[in-house]
Amino acid sequence: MNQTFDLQRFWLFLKLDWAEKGRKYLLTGGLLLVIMMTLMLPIILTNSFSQILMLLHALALFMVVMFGGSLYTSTVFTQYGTTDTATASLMVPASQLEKFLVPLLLNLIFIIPVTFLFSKLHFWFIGIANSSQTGSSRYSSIPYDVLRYFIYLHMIIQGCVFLGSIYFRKLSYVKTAVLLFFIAITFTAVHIIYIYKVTDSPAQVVSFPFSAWKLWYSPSGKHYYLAHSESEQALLYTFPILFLLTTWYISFVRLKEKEI
Amino acid sequence: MIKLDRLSFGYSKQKLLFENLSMQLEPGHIYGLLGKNGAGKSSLIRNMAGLLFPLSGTIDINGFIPQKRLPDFLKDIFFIPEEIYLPSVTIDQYVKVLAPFYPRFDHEQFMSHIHQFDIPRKNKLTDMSYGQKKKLITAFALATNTRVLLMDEPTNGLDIPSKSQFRKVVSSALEPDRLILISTHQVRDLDNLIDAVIIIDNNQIMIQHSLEEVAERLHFGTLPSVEFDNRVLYAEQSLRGYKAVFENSDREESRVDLEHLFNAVTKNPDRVRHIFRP
Repeated sequence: MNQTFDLQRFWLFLKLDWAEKGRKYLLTGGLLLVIMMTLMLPIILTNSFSQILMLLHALALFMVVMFGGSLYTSTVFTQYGTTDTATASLMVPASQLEKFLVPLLLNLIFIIPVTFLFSKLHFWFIGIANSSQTGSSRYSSIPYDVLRYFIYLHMIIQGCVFLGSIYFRKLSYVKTAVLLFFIAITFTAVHIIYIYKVTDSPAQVVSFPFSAWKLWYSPSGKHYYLAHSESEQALLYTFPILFLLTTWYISFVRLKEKEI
Repeated sequence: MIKLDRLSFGYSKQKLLFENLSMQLEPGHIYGLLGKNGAGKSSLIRNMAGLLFPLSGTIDINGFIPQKRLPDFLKDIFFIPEEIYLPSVTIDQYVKVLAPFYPRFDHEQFMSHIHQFDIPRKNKLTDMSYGQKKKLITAFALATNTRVLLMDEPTNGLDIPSKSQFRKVVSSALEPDRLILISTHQVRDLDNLIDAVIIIDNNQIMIQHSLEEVAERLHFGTLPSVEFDNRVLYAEQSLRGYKAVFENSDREESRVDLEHLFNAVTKNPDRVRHIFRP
C-alpha cells in the first residue's frame, strides 16, 4: 500500500474525522448560514428603500464570510492543541498527507460554497429588491472589483488562520488575529508611506495594498486615480493565491514535524 | 522488535533526559519499564511511538523509523498514553470508524475483552468514567493485534478488581510475535504480568533483563538482621525481620519483588551493574 497517499485510507480518515468533528462542523456551518440569511433576506422583504438593508449585506460579507469563515477555519487542527487528542490523531494509521488533506478538504467544502453563496445571493437579492422598489431610489450592488479584492483578502486571512490553527497550540485564533492585525497595520503603513514618497506628498491618499491609488493635491485641488493595468492587477492577485498555497505547505510541514 | 541504538533525548540539548540508550526488545515478551517520576519513561515510549524525535541515535521498530510515522508502521503499533482521548461516540461507532485501520483487528476478541472488563456497551465514550475509558482503550488496543503495544501508566485510574482483570486480559493477549511494553511507577501493578524488566534512572538504563535472570542473580527473601551482611543491596524492616534483596551467591530460587528490585537498583546502582555485568 502506498505510504504517501491511498484513497481507501483517505476515505477512512475522512469518516473518522467526520465522526469526531462532523457535529461541530454542521452546527458552526448552520449557524453561520442562518446569520447570513438573517442579514441578507430583509432587503427583499420590503418595498421601501433603506440604506441600512444594504449595509446588512456588507455586514454579512465581513461577519459571516470573512470573520465566521476564519473562525470556522481556525478549528481545522484543534485536535493537535492538546496532548491527548494530538496523540490519538497522530497514532491513527494514515499518512501525514492524508491527515493534512482531510481537514483541508472539510474546510474548503464549507468555505468556498459560502463565499460563492454570498456573492450569488447578494446580486440576486439586489436585483429582486430593485425590481420591487416603488420609489426612484435603487440599490447598487458591491462593485465587482471591490468584491474581488475582499475575496483575495479573504484568501490571505484564510491562509493565516489555517496556519495559525496548527502553529499555536492554545488560543490559536486570538493569537493569529493579533499577529495578523499588526502585520496588516505595518504593511498598510509602509504602503501609504511609499505612495507619499513617490507621488510628491499629496494632501490625501486613499489606497489599500495591491489596489488602485486615489490622490488629492492642495491647493490645486487636482485629484488622480491611479489604477493598475489589467495585466498588472492580475499579476498582483497571484500573490494571495501563492500566499495561500505557501501557508498550506508550511502547515503540512508543521504537522509532519509535530511532536507531542 | 524494538531496537534502540545510542539514543539521546531531551527537551533541550543542555538537559538530556536520557543519553546513549541502547537496547533490544524481542517479541513474545511483556516488558515492564520502571523509573521514578520524571525519569523519562513516558518520553522514551513517545520516542518509540514516533511522537517525540530523538536528538541523536536511532530507533528501529519492526524495520521502521518511528519519526516518519508511515501508515505501515502505525498499523502495527498501538500506544496507550497516560491521558487518553476518546471521541463522543458509542463503542460500536468507535470500532466502526477506527478498527478498519488495523488489518488484524479481531472483533470477537474485542467483545470478549469488553465483557471481561465489564464495560457498558450502550454508553457514549465521553460519558464513561476514567477507569472505564482506560479499560475500553486497552480492550481495543489488544484486539488490534498489532505486533507492538506500548502502554504508559495503563493501571492509573483502575480500581483493585480492574487491576487484576487488566493483568489477566493483557497476559492472555501475549502472542509469540507480539511485544508489549508497559511503563509504570506503580510497580506492584505489574506483579505476575511482566516477564522482563527495564529500569531507567539518572538518564541511563540500569538493568534490562528477564525476571528469570534477575532471580538467578538476586535473591528476594527475609533476613533476621542486615547490619553486617555485605550481600544486602536493599532491606526493609518487616514483622519477621528484614525483607531484603541480596546477591544470590547460593543460586537459591526466589520470587522477584519488583518494588524491592526497583529500590535496590536505584539505591545501589554500581553494585547492581556489577552483579548484572555480562
